[in-house]
Amino acid sequence: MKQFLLKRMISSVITLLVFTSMLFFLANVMIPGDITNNFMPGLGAQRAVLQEHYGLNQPLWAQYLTFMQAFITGNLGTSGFGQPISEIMGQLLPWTLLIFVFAVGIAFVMGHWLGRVTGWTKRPVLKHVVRFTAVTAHSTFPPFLTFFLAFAVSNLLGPMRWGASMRIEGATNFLVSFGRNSITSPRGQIGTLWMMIGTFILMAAMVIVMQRIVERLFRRRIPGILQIVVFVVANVWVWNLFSRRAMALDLLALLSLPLIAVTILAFGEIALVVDAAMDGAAGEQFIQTARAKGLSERAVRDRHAARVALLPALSKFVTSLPFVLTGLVIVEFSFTVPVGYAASLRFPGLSTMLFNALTARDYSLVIGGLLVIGMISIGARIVIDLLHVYLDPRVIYDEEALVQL
Amino acid sequence: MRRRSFFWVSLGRFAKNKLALLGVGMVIAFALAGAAHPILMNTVWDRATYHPSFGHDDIETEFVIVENITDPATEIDLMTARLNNPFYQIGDIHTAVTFPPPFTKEHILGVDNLGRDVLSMVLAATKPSFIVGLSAGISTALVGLIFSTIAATFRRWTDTILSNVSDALLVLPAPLLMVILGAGPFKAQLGPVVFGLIYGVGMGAGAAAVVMRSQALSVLTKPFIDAATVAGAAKYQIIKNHLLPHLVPIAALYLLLGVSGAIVADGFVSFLGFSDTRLNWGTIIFFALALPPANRAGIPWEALVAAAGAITLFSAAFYMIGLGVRDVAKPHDNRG
Repeated sequence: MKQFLLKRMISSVITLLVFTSMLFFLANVMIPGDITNNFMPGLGAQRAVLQEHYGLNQPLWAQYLTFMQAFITGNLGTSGFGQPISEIMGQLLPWTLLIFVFAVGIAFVMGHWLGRVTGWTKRPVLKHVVRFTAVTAHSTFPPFLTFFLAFAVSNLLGPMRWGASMRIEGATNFLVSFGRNSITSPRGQIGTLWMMIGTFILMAAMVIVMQRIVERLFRRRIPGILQIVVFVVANVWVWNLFSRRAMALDLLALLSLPLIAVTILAFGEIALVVDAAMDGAAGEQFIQTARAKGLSERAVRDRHAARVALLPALSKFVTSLPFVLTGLVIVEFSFTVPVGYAASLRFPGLSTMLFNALTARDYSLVIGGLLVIGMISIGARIVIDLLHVYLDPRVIYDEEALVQL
Repeated sequence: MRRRSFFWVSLGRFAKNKLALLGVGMVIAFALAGAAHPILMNTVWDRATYHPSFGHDDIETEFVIVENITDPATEIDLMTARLNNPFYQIGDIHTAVTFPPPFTKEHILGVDNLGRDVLSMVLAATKPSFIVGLSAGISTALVGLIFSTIAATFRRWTDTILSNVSDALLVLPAPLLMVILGAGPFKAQLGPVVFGLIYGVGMGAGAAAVVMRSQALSVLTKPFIDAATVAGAAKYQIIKNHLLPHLVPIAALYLLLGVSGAIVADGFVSFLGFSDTRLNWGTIIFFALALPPANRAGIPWEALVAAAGAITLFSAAFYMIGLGVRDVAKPHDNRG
């Protein structure tokens, strides 16, 4: 186990380095020009001075070496407008990470449940309807989805409730004209976000552990609804404990739309994978054994078949999580596109910054943003691999099983 | 009884998946729709009205100027009317240019904010979508095959380099890559074919190669490979006769997933207005949302829903075929 973890860590670091180099060359070779292109053309002498100031007049390999040297020492540099990139990322990362963690968590629970039900049912109509819905949700066009959600919320729920504005800590250039009625003070938002991410993960782990204990001791499962209720209550209780409940709920209301959109985009694929795996498990001999023991159909489904279906879903996650993350970036940005009909919603996530930096050719900022997105993706992969090893220790010796069709 | 060949067994397994058959039907429908557009343009539709880029249609509606509106379709209030002509009085007739309503014989899906026929635009955008999708899908499959075969056959440092590149590309998914490229100055060169090719290389060397490499490695540890080696088969024979037949179904799966993803990515890049000179479904949505609605109350739902629906269904169709192919490609006992 220790060896496996070490190996994964080393390979992740190498992946990160390769990824960073790739980003550098992508930004510099595929998209020519630099930040001085923004300024008035014809400023020959001043432009040269600026380029020298930023070190842009050096050959590409020298820039690359400087960049990598700074990266390895943990210094991401400053953006073209003087702010340190690590500071900008520190302000924006929790927003994106929160949506990512919450949406993936909800989507996994939803998708796993749907897949379990459709994979097991004998009714073909239900099966096909759910599968079709899952495929369609997976390939929904994100900008239309976001527009539709924003339109529905601003028109159906009424501007009174949703039109209040919320100020965002630290980032003065982001104006969020969306949120609950109460205007929260921006102080302590970043901390609250980190707290919410932490409690979400911890409470999910707690519910799983609790379920295992109950299963060991009393030989029965906690119903799914009760698990969800316990999870939600525990989260709110902890927020209350830190006396951050009001702010946390406001933030959740603020982020509800991107959360819903990303969940819709993400759950379909999980449902399909679990569904296929359940189909495969249905013919196995251990299912017949379980039935012969006289277990109820539900117990056979949830305790025997669904366990087997969890592994392929996890190994599929390795390749599909980066795409979920891309969907998140697209969704977050689609909300910020001013559309004239619905109020333009601006979320203080990474992607807004990313696209602004792209149009401003602020490459150090673009690379920084993509790097953070890449780090989330790599981190998620390590977590999935560890989970996989925990559930199925054989994969330590057969690493090819970590990635599957 | 004669054993059925591998092809027929696979086809039977594919046809068992009803959703995959539905996908095939939808793709055929899209192909027919794309083929129908030039025919319709040359026979029924006249260019001035129905051309997907330059066509225009409007109707002149007469509004009676009243104080309090009871029927918005035929009446207009004085304040609004006086924005056009300050000398209007109550009871005058104001003639305004409005767009024809949807669900009529002339414009089945209505017109967009510029007065262009939505049905004509959606049909005309089908062909470029096929080009983007197929070039993306084919290059995904080919690049994935080449990457995984080389990595699995030569192992050692070749494998190390290639799999690290794949892992890094997995972290930068192809749709994101396309958006970054689309924002750059090369966006004019990002025609359908080039867009598809770059997307395919990104996806093929990334996600497809990661999965196919792990499959190739597990195939190469099977006893029949050892048997072939002992029997004196050369490396290329092993690849040709034993490895590729196992990888081709997975490549076919990634071909379809590549098409499905490329369409959404293409739509998104167009939606951002990065490639607004091209006609495709994303551009329709971009224009429907970005241009101010002239003489039109409300949102151009016709254009929005038609274009977004086309993207979703097109992408979903290929994904559903992919599900059928996955049933074939998954490891299984070959008793058919």
